[in-house]
Amino acid sequence: MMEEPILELNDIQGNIIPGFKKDCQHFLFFQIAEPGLAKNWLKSLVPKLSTANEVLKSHTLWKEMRMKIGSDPDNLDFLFLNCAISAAGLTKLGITGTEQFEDSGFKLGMEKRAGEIGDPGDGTMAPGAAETWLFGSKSNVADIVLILATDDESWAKQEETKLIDQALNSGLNLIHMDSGKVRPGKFAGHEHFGFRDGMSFPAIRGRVSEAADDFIESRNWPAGAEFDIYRGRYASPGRQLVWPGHYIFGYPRQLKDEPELPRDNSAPPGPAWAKNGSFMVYRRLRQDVPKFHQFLKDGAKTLQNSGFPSDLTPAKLGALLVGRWPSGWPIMRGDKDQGADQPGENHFGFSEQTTAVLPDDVHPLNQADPDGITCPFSSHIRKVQPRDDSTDQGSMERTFQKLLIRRGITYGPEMDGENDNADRGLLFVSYQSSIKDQFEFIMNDWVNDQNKPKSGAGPDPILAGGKDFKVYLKNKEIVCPLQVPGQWVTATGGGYFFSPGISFFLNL
Amino acid sequence: MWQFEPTARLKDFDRVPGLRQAWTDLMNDFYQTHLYGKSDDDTFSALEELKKRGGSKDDLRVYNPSIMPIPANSTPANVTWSALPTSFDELFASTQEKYEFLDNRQPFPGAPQLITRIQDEYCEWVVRRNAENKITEVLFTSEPPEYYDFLFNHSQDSKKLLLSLYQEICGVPSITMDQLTDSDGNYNWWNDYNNEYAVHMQQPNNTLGAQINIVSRASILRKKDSGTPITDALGLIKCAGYGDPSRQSDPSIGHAINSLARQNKMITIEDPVGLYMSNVDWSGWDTPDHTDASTFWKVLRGTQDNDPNQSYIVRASLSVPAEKGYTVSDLTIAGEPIAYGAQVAGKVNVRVAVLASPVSTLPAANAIVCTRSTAQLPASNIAQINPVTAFASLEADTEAKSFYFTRSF
Repeated sequence: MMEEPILELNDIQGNIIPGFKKDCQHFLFFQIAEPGLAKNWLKSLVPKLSTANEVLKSHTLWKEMRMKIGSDPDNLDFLFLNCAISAAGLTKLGITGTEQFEDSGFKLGMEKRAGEIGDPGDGTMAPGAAETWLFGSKSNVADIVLILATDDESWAKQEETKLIDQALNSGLNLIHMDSGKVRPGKFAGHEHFGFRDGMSFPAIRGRVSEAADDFIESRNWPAGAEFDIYRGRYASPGRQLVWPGHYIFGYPRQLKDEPELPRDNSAPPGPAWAKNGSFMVYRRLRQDVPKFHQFLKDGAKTLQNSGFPSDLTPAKLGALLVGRWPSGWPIMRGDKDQGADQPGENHFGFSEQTTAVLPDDVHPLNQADPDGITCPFSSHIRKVQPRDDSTDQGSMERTFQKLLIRRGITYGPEMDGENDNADRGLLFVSYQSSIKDQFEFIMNDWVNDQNKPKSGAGPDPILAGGKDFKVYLKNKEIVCPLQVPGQWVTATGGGYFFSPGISFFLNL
Repeated sequence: MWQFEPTARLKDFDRVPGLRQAWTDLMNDFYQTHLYGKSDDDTFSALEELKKRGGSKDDLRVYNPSIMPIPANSTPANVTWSALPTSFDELFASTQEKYEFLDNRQPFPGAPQLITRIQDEYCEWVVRRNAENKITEVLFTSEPPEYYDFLFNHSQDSKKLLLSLYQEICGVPSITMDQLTDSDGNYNWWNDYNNEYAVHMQQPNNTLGAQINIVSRASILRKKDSGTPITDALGLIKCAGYGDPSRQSDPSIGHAINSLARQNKMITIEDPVGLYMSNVDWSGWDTPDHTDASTFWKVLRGTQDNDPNQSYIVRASLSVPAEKGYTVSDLTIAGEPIAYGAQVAGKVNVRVAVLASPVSTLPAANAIVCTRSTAQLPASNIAQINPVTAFASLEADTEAKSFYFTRSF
């Protein structure tokens, strides 16, 4: 096994790794009006920018406190701050070298790439088209985004006010703000359609120190030879170990089909100042909850009429289309929602039967589903994280290089009656070292394509940008097309940014 | 009496009596060569591999539809991938360098004297430019070379048809047979007109033979010494040595076929046998006057359907009519001007289909033990393979079987 690199955690911003994991996240979007002033102000932010090291330590302390008091501590909170800059913003600041990035997506910006990721074209004012966005298009494209995160909303607001005041006096104009908040009570961690989100993350390879096993992402497999097949490739069930160069500049990427091995001289191309930075994608995704749930009701009836058994309830159809039950329990592991926080909720594959039993995992393991009968090929999780499936790219080993670090959070009010269609949804955030080969690839090639990663699937019924398309479910071996109106998730803004290392700001 | 359709159901053969039957004979010969084996041919067939490892014909799950009728309720299974190769991704520091490399003919690995299109995903393209170096046309082909070999070799009449096709496809009535023939009098895949107009595929592995070989041998169930079944895409292709693990297509095709075989389904290649462009992803395209870019895509041979899995495209062109006053180079994909044919290839999808029966009542096939190293063939070994003999017996050189050719050159 190749030794994993030591990551410069005092330079890497903390929302990249390990992620803020706070109940409130506020996103402030600015345009640069006076570059000189803006530059100075950005430099002055350095002491406040939260490093990966600080966020890791805070998480450790928080966990220790929770152990000590037996519940989530209400006497310990942190306020984190990170910053990212668009390609246009870098140019305005007079930063040279952006052209050395390979990533055409970053350089062109999200608005120009909107068609590539499935948004409707301009000219029709169709929902999701860039011309309809609240920000991120035309004259309203952000140069800089600040991310504020804490568990205490009032603290976030207080700090936000201060930062905005400072920014407005430092050559910046505020063009948009989003306030993300984890949903309350039993819905915590669930997105607005009702499904638990953010369950399956890749684990970044890398060490904190010289110690050989001082990994940033701990390796959590039980003892036992039956788990040996997983240890070299997964940090824990369902969490692929991915070389850090797929997320952070300055580090190695995977050797082609060998997830255990890095490739020599494979750090992603970019200017020297990009070291320890990462591309950040921001998508403000509005969710039309009533429309989606109405579709589940109608779709279940349609499928029953075409031969599916009567237990195909709207809830079951939802689970088939997402690939998980609302609690997060995978459809691959049964027709019943077994509830949240089960030890085996991420211990499953699609193509192959799973045979190794985790301790305390009492539910039946998944059977092989090579034909997409148990979990449709179009289901959201099988589209964006195909696990052990081969794909249009070839073997499953290539999927490792496509995975995103996601740091999104829900926004908007809770439903007030089943027809309430207030502005609510997901503030999608991802980090990667190639927007083109990771985020855009997943959106273009997998989410929106009817025949990839598996042929005959249809687009992702949850996230695809199109409308009135078909997905294909299977009742035993009989293929049943289901007409999908779609567009219950539409973009309302966004941008592509670069989240540099702290030293970048120091050197401004 | 079963008759194989010509590739893409092309009508060329109707011009010469007897050609359709002769094509059927050729397809039967391909199945015999790659599935069952021929005593006078050293190609290692699926059945020969099975027998060598203690298996038998009862363990075959691929069949020739002219020998065994297609079982009722058989359903199509497609595998789709992009025409843009990934095999060379790690050789280049920049995407531009890679595109430049892929757009041009290159020395073939292992046989550098051969200058060939290097595009290895069963779809090849050539870029035509004007005096200002603007792209005026990108021509794509998925036509198998065997189709043209067949016309050259079958009869004088078919040879004349071959010449006519060249003249029609290239739009050059002055082409002569001599210009399509090598110094030994054989049909030359790398003749100037095929080089320039992409009449058919010429990368030595982009063949119908490769397709039938991969499908046939991928259907064999395999296991490790320990008895553990090998079921993953990479493990299977490394073990069996069918196709090239660094492609997108071959591991995916092999995995899909093996999965069907493990379910005890009987498999045959969709007729017409071939590998087809299925569609173009037009999302994110734009043109200077906002004309729908898809109107510039012309299917020249084969057919396009709204359902990509019903498309049988073997020749197509992307070009802008002169009256528009702009060229392909003025089109953009996701905001990027088209500077290379490879950018377009990245949006072209390719497919192969098989028909799979319902689960068979036959006893489950036996798996054979994998005797090959499952370590990836290092790049340095590629250069040591003699392409002329690489399709020879596994006895001679098992490692070399990863890379095979239907003819010498």
